[in-house]
Amino acid sequence: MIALVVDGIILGSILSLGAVSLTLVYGIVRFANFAHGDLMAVGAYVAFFCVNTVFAALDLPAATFGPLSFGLPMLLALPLAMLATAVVAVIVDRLVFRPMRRRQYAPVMFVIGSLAAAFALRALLFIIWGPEFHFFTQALRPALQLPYEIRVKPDQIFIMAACLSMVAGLYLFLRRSRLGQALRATADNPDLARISGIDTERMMVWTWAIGAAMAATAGILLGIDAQLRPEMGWNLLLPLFAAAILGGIGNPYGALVGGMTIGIVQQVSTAFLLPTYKPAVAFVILILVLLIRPQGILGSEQRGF
Amino acid sequence: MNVLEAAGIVSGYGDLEILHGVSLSVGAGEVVAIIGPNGCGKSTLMKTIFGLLTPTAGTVTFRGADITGQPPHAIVGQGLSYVPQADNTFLSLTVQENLAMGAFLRSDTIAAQSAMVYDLFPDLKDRRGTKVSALSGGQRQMVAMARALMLKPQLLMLDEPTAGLAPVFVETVFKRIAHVNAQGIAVLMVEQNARMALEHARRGYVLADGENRYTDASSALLANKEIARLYLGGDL
Repeated sequence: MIALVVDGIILGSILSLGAVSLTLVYGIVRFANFAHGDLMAVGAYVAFFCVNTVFAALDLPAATFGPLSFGLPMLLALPLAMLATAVVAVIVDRLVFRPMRRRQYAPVMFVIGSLAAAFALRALLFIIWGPEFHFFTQALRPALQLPYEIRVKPDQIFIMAACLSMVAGLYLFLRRSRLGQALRATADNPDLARISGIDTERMMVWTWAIGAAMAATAGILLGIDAQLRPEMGWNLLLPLFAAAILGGIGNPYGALVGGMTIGIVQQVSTAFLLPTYKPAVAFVILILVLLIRPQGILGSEQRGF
Repeated sequence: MNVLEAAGIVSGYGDLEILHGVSLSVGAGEVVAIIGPNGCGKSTLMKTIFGLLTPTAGTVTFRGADITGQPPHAIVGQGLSYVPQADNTFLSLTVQENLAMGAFLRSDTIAAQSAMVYDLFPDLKDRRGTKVSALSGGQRQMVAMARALMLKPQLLMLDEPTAGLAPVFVETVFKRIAHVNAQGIAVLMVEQNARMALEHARRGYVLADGENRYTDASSALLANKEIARLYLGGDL
């Protein structure tokens, strides 16, 4: 049981990182971005391309870091993939959402637009890398045996630490930096932000870039833990939304709590139910929370974070 | 020389024309009040001057430069600040963060300007770390004005600064406006509370049906029986 909770925390960290970035984007662009999962996949594939194609050809030292399954190439690929995914998201905004903003489309049209972007991105991954599974590495790493029958791979400890420090970093960025405060101000009251001299179109670009970079990281970590497939992000989209809504949509700190909750509950449920029912469990929780506390665990009645 | 000059403004929302050619001016360091019945276009005029609405005809000149049709974030950097009637604070941000956003365009001046603004609004100083959502309506109005003063504007535009406030705060708001004006900052305000607004202004404009109706010194407007009957809630 404790072992399942630990598994849940690892899954929950990745879900949290995805949900936090999803909800950050939602808070500013004000629509549910259905392409978020596929941005995760784009990030993972760009990192795969860097590590297994470019860096392999460059003969970069491939030695792994201690017990971890990856080494220097992955560490270099991470920022490159974050940057590339950010650029992809900003391009999608330019091509799809900005023209819609100019013409003042209804919010539902933006959601449909993001759905179209999601399909397009995934199709691109299929075309370039094909439908088969890819692995960052084929090497097997032994899991650490801890008391209470807990088995954790060193990679998974890294994943957890990376997710949590990234969310903590976002928190500090939003609180302390001038740009972060301006993003919060834009989420809180876009009209007043413009009146204060904040160029909200530029804030939109920053939001897409930061949200996509975080999504890319979540995708890469998921790829390290499991494998890469073009649908890897799309399949995670519903749990991500469940986590974001659970914590109160538009509230990044709530998304952290929501991601952990969904991750732990899904894994613990496998002690009683077939693993096939895992996604259903997430939704039972979501429905229960919506019935009891429609504003989410931490709430989002008011705008802003 | 006038700080602000609006000439022949025609503006509205989409196809709905609200202003049919309104003109007004504000002199340097002057306090000017715009009064008139509900729906006469007072707020529309403010929004058009500040670039939130684009006029279909007419020009807005600020310190001699044509700013017609410029976006708000371009206008605010030139020394014109605006406090809208509703939603005029960042509720989820602290008082100090609201001030910092007011000086977003010139972040290097935040410390010095905050000190100046806290001198004008001493009640806010103790609450600088408090989220605005935890403040009272009167205090929020102070935050809204304080935010708008962070870029050392030459003209502060206030849309209904006392709307929905308890009488004790109405008095305070007008006192603060006088303090702000004493710093040499011109004030253009739209007020429901017409009599008090005129008592605190040098000149007043009466708008009706989207057009200029009367323009005169405040004392003259206050003394005019016709205006008192129509716009000031009966003659005293």
